[in-house]
Amino acid sequence: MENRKLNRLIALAGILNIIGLLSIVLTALKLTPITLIVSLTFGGVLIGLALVLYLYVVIKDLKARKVL
Amino acid sequence: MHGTELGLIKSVIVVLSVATIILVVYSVFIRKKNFIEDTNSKWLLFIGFFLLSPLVYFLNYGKALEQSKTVDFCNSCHVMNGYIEDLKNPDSEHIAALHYHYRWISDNQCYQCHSEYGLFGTFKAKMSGIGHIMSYYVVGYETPLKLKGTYNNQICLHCHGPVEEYQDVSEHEEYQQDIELNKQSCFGAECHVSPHPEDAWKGIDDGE
Repeated sequence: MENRKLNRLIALAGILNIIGLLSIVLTALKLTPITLIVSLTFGGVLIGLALVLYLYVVIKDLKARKVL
Repeated sequence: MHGTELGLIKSVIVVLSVATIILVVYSVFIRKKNFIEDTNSKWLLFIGFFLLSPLVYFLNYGKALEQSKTVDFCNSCHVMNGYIEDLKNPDSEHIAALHYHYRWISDNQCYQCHSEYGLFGTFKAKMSGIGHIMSYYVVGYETPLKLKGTYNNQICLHCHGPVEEYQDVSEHEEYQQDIELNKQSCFGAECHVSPHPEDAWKGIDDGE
């Protein structure tokens, strides 16, 4: 049950990461004031959030294995 | 930074982004293995989330900040069209247009005159740029457009101050202190002509 929840969190992290990266690709291809702001704030937040979710899952896993 | 360098960085950003997306899609959605039990998935996502994604973000950050200094970027807001039109008009005798046409400023002409020198000059310029974007898209703005506060003469003096032709002008010597303290503007009826046309803002509502 716990593993299923953690796997879902990783899937969510993957989706957030992909959306963040797509916003960056959009800025790289067409730089306008709005794409600039979107990629630097929204994109950055999504990529950061994906990273935090990944860390959370890894730490949970390590705790379950009694490594931490 | 030259156009070719920016083009190369742009290609690197796009290639790395696409590679990272493929890596994440493969690890999470195609392999469909139990992430908790699968060490390979963990390492693949570590590379995607920890190494490639932040690298792409910071590369794009640097490139975007550099590119946002260009005249074309300023012109991407409709409200600036009238100003840039005058800037590129070879018959214009406004100060900004002369600096553009004679390449007294070689590139990023808007940015050079609207950012201060020194440690925090770029930071202040970027913060005010974000404020402009907010005004343009969210808060709104009033016309005619006005410069916020007083124009800092030090931006002009950075280039012109040490030049002999500048120092030889008696008015510059007479009002030196006032000029340096921004009490006397460089632009005015008895000094230099306005940097931009007074009615440049009218380009806003003409549907262009």
